[in-house]
Amino acid sequence: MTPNLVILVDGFSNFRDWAWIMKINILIISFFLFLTFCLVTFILGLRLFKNFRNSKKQKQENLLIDFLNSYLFDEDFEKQKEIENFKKNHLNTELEIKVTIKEILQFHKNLKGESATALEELFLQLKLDIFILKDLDKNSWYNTARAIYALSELTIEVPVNKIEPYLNDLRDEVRQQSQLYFLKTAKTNPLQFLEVTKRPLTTWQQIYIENALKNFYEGPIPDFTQWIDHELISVVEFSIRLIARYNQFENIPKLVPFLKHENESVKMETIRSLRKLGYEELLSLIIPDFEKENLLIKKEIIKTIEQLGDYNDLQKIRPLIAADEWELKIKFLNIENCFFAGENSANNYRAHA
Amino acid sequence: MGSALHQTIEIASWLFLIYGAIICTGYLFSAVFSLIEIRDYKRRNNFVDETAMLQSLNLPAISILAPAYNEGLNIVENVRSLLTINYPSIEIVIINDGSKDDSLNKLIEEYELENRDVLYHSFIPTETIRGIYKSRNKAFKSLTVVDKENGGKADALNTGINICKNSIICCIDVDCILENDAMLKLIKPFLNNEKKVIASGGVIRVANSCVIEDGRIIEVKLPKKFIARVQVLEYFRAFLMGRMAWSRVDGLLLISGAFGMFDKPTVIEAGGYNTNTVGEDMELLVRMRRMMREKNVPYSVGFVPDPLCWTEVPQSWKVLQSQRNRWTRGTAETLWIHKKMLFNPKYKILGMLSTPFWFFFEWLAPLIEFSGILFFLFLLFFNQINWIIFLTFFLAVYSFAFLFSVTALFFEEYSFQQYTKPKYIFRLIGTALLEPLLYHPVIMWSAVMGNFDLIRGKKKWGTMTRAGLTNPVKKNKD
Amino acid sequence: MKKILVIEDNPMVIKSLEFKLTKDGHEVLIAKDGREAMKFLKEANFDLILTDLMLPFVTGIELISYIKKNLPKTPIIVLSTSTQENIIMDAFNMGVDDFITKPFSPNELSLRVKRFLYKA
Repeated sequence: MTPNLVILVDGFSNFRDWAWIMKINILIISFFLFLTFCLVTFILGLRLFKNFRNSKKQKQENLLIDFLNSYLFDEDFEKQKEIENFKKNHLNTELEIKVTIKEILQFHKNLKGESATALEELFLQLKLDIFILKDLDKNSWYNTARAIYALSELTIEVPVNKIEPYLNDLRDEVRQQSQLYFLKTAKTNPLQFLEVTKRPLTTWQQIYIENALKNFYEGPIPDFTQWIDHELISVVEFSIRLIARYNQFENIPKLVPFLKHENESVKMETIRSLRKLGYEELLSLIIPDFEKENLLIKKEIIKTIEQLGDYNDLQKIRPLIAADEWELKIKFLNIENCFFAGENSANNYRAHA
Repeated sequence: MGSALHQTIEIASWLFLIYGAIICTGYLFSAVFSLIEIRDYKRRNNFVDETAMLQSLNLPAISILAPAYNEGLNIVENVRSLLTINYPSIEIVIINDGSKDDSLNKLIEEYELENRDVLYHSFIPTETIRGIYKSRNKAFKSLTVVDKENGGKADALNTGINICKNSIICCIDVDCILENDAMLKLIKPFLNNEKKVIASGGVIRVANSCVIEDGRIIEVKLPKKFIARVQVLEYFRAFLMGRMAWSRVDGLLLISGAFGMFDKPTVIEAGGYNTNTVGEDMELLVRMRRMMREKNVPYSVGFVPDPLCWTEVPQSWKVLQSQRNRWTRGTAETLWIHKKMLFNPKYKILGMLSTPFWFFFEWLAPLIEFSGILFFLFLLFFNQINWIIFLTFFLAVYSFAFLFSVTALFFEEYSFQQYTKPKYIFRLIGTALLEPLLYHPVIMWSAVMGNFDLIRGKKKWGTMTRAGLTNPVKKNKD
Repeated sequence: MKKILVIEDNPMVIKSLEFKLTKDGHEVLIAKDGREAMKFLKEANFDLILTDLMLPFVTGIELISYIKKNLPKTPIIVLSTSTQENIIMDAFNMGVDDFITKPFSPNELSLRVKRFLYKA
């Protein structure tokens, strides 16, 4: 022992206390080092594992690209023989199956027409639907969502009661995929699932549904007014928006009462839709109530004047804009300028005509 | 004297031990929460490729606000990279904060800008605007350049907020490099929540030494310089563990000023960025959260566990110190402005967990360390050091620091694995070993000096000398 | 044999286009982004250009205007995920010859390619 320590040891009477703190520290150090060692091993192990797995994935993917392209475009391709061969040799491990499903879905997403149908047939012939259905019933939300996604993408139909309960699942990814499933597999009435929807529709889901409606659904467009009395506000708003999106002019009378709806965002959506549909009476209904409305609705009213009204309509609300409602003032002045410019060019035209 | 000293040492040891134990508990929680968050995120995004959504007209329009001060070196390229962002409806507002170089002229020339008469209102008071420019060329119709008197980053952002037209704003550093689908990922929390979302942020990465061409990362490389490499580790710890865990308990106090998305009406209602603090990014979010809480409106702040943005970190010790000095002052100023929230149950998680944690373990930690060193020197002076005890303390702290870094490395490996070469992992582990010895003392000192400077009344930002994020092969640096 | 330049960054679409068009008897060159495309365009002449609009580095619009200025006789077919009317209108206003939206039917694409290749 060094002289310093000897002095210290002699100098402090409660040496046992010191040893106690030291013991704790040493324990802590060993514990930390042990954890660190475990983590470093994990990291290296994980890296090796991922590399290994990725190389296998890559191999399978390359195989599939050639296989799928030949299947789709090569006339000399012996379909039955090759399919059997593939099933036997390349669909044995779970990884291979997963990669195959993913790759077929990728192809299917980018192609349409005969090629897409051919891929759907291939999928069934490779008996991959059995695998998907097993995934569907597993108790984990991500497997279920992924399975439903595959089913809807390839429009493989399963009994309704298998998917319906997922419409109101806790996780919104599962709900979203089941909504899209029902939409894509529907021959008519693509939004029928809304009748049993109990959880609010998020904006994200609405975007997806609208997108799928435009790009995937091929049947007749339903009358969206059937859901404007739904218990969920989000569904009501969504339906109102769709009425305008699909130019359902015949439904204008049904929308008009919603201009007086108690919910502000429903009112706003109604004004937007009626504006888009070019409803002539709209301005006469909304301008009188301008002062009472909140800022967002006032903005919509001004926008409506810009699109459906003229300079005189604009002047009607000029006195109604408060001194501190700067956003409205700016909008107002910008639109006024547009109208002036329009008037000027009209005047010029008259002058030259 | 011996027994009094002994008692002091014992109390001090106890205090350090308790402090350390709380930090360890925090580490444990953040590790567990982050793991769950990353795992969830990976599962959620595993099967669906959402880039098709980028064509949807229903995605809300975003205004990108990028303040620029003396960025003339790269401003044209940076703006070009912003113009090719993949998103249906975007407005890009560059705010020239009274640059002394030729930034504005370069932009006017490259993008065929002309001065326009644009109506606007200063919802948030700012320095005078000298001119608003838009392009004659239809290809650049989404670009707006605002020229104003110098007022600092916060002031420039406020100007952008006043001028821009969309109600979702994205505040970025003009030289940040964004991932392709960054906008789409960052807007998702706004569209996916039943509660109102006021802000969202993502993971920021270190771009030094990466191969960058035309505003895109071509190849991810580990920084060559030690100082930049250590910051890689720091960012891992901060983003992959810190912010993710905070976001899980909805106690996030900071969305990085380098890349964050906000709901404009809420920002304006809260009063915009505070020009009197150097930590304006943190102060804004805390103020916004506080306002929502005081109004008793349910809300949330989104965090996207995905690397969305790459930024250049300081590579010289001097610039680094001045940056950390500023960060400390910013943290201290923010905590002081909102001191009412500390341990105030009215503010729920924010008051009972987030702000106390930031106070004790982000702000106070460097000071406690420093006092520990002073204490050590004091004991040394009186020849009262039990070297074995000291060694065990030191090793305990050192091994914890190393463990923390290795955990962050593990999360990186588990989640994104962006440093693909195996040698990078080893280098990072080596860096983690050296960090507590070579790097941390500098950071601690900067933090201490930051507090000192704050008391002295320093208010400057200091300048960031940019090396310029270009392909390192082309230049002779690094 | 006719030479086609395909400018596309989706790897799966690249593979399929390459396969199909090669099977149809054309020579196919692939550029994965706007810059590579510019390089190829400066080096060789093509009988048809098939391009996406959302490309890294150079926007689709810039690319099309470059082609129209320097290689005005080369037919351009746009293959894009964009279904927005204004984008399609802009493209046609710039003078592209055809616009195919993704998801696309490979057979239809092949027919349209043949039509433009043998029209001149």
